[in-house]
Amino acid sequence: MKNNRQSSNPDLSSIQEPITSASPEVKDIIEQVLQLEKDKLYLKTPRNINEDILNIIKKVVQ
Amino acid sequence: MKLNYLQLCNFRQFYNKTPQIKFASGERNTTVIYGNNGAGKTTILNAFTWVLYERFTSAFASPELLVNQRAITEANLEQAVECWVELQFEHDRKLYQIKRKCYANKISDIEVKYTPTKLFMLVAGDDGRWYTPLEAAEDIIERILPASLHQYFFFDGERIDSFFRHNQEYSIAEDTKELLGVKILDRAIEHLKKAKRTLQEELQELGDARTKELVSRQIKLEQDIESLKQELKDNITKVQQLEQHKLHLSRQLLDVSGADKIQQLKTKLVSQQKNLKKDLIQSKIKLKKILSQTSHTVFLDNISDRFITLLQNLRDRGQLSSGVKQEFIQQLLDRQSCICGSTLIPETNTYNNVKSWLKKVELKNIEESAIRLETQVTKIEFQTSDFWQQLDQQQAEINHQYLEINRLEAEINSANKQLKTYPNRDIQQLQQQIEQIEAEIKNLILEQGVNQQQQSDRAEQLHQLIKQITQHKLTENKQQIAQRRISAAQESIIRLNEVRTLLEKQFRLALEQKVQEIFSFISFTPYTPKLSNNYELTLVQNIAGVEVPVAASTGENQILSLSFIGGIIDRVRQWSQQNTLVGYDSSTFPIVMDSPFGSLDQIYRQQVAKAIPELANQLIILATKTQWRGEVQTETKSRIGQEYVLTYYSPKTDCKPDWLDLEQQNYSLVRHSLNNFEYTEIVTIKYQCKS
Repeated sequence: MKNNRQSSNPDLSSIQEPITSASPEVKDIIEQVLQLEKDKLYLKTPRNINEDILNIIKKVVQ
Repeated sequence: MKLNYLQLCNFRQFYNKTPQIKFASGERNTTVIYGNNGAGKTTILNAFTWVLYERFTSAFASPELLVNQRAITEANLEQAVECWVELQFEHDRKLYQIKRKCYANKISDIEVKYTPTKLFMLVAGDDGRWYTPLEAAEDIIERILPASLHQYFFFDGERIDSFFRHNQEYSIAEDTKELLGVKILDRAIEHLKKAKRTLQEELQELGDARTKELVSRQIKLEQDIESLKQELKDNITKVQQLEQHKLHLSRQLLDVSGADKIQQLKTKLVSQQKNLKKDLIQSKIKLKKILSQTSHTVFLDNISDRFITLLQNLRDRGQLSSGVKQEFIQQLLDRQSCICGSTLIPETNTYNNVKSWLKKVELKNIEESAIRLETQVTKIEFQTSDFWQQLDQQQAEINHQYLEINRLEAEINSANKQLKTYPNRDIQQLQQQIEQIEAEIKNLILEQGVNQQQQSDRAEQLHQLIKQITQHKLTENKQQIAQRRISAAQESIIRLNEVRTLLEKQFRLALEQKVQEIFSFISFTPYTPKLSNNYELTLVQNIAGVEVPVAASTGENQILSLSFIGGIIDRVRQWSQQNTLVGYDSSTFPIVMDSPFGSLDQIYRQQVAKAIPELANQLIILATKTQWRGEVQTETKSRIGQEYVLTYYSPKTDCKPDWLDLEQQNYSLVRHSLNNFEYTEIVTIKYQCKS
C-alpha cells in the first residue's frame, strides 16, 4: 500500500517533545500528573485529584 | 484488547449454552462465521456490544426480547430462565472474563417478566489466579475500550456508509481524541490550573501587601484570559458548524438537478479566488521586500554625483595617489642608497627624509578604497533604474491579480444571482440560506479578530505583571518556594497545551495520510479522502489543480468508512507505541464486522478482503456464503485461523435446506427443526491443515 499522493510524512514521535525537553522539575511534574490522570480517567469526577496534584508539585519543587 | 472467546446462553436464537466461539489471532488473525439471513450473525455482533456496553446496533430488532423463546416455553411457571453472554479477552497482560446476565421469569404462559441485566467480571494476572476486581466492571471496560468508540470496532458493514453522513449524534473528532488520550491531557491541564490557583492563594497568604496585590491582579488577568479563550473557542466552533451547514447546503444544491452545474462552477470559482488571494498576499510581501531593500537608492542620485566630483577633485590635487609604492621606499632604505645617489645611513637626516615617504604612500590603501567606492556608487545608478522597473512590474502584477479577483467575484456573484433567481423555490431558498450563513460567518470572524487582540493585550499585561512579581523582592524563603512552584505549574500547563496542539495537528495529518493510503489501495477511483479539522471525512477530485468535492456513492462511502476505521486503528497503534506518556496503553484492536461487504461489487470485495486483515489485530467476520464466495475466500485464505457455521433450524416443514461446502466437507446452513422450535447451533469447522 504505497502512497504517492502525499510526500510529507507526519511525525507522531515529536508530539511529546514539549515534555521531554522541559526542565527536570517540570518534566517530573508532568509525568507524574499524566500518570495520575491516566489512573483516574475512568472516574467521572476523580476524588482528591486536586490535592494529589498539589502534592506532586510541592514534592518536586522544594 | 485481544478477544479470546465468546459464549452465549439462551441469547436470542441460541438455545441453551453454545460452544465457545474461539477467536483467531496472530498471523492467521481472521475468524469467519458463516450464516444465512436470520441465522444469528447480527445477534452475535450484538452479543459483543451487549456484554461490553449493554448496547445494540440499529439493525438489531426488538432488543427487549433477549431470552430464547424455546427456553421460555420449556420452562415451568414461576421458573426463571437465565440468559447470558460471556466474553473472555486479554488486555495489558491480564485476562478478563466478563459475563452479562439477565433472567426471564415466566409468570404465566403469556406473561414473561425480564430482570435488569447484571455484569460480572473476573480478572487473572500473571499468577493465573482469578479474582473479582475492586473497581466497577463498567469502569474497567470503559478504560480499555471506551463505549463512545465501540462503533468503530463492532459494526454492521451494510450501514457503515452512513458513519460520516449522520454524524450529528456523535462527534467523530471527539471520539478519536478520546482514543488518543486527549482527555488525559485536558484533565491534567484543568487540574494543574486548579493546583496553580491554590498555590497562588497560598502565596497571597504568605506574602506582604504588595505581593498580595500583584498576585490578585494576576489571578484576575488569568481569569480574563481564560474566559476570552473560551469565547474564542465557542466562536470557532460556531464558525465550524456554520461552515458545515453551508457545505451541507451547497451539497444539496449539487443534488438538485439544474443547479448542479452552476454550483460546480461556483465551487471552482471560489477555490480559484482563494488561491488568487494567497498569490496576492505573496505579491504584496514581495513588493514590501523590494521597497525595504532598494528604495533608498532613489534618494542617492544627487549624493553619488557629488561623491564622484569630490573624488575627482581629490585625485586632481594628488591627494589620493602618491604615485610611489611603499615597497620601493622600503627597498631604498634597505639598500641604504637613494635614487639620487646619496647614501642613506640610518638616523641621519637624509635617511629620515626618505623614511617619511613611507607614511605618505600609506595613502595607497585609501586610494584603493576610493576606487572600490567609486565602482559601488556608479552601480547605484543602475540599481535605481532596476528598482523602478521591479516596482512597476510588481505593481502591474498586483493590479492584474486585483482585476482577476474582481472578475471572479463578479462571476461568483452572477452564479449566486442565478441560483437566487433560479426558477425553483428550493434552490432559491438554499441560496438565500447560504448567503445568510456567509454573513454570519463574516461577523463571527470579525469577533475573532477583536477577541485575539484583547487576548494579546491581556497576555502582555500579564507578562509585565509576572515580571513585577518576580522583581518584587521575595524576602522569605517560603515565598520563594511558593513562587517557584507556581512557575513550575504554569510551565507544565504551557507545555501540556503545546503537546495538545501538536497532537491535534500532527495526528489528524497522519490519520488523513493513512486513510488516503488505504482508500487508494481499495478504490480504483481518482478520488482522495480529505479529513477536515473536525474530522469530517469527504472525497475530493482534483480537476485541473482544483479540489472539487465528489458526491460519493454508497459503495465509495463504505470504503471510505472502512479506510477511516483502518486508519484510526493503525495510527492509534503507532501513537500508543511511540508515546508512552500521553494516551492509553492499548495498542491492539479487534474488528467485528457483520456483512463486511455491504453493497460492494466483485473488485471492491476482493480489494477489501485483501486490506482488512491488515487493518486490525484481530478480525471477526460474520457473512453469508454468497458474501464470502470466490475471490474473497481466495484472498483471505492465508489469514483465516478459525471458522464457524451457524446452522439454522426452521420449524417450517417445507423449508429448503441449504449448506456450505468447505474443504470437501458439507456443513448445514438451514435444516428442518424436529421439535417445532426455531433455533441456531454453532458448529466449529475443523480441518487437518489448520494449526
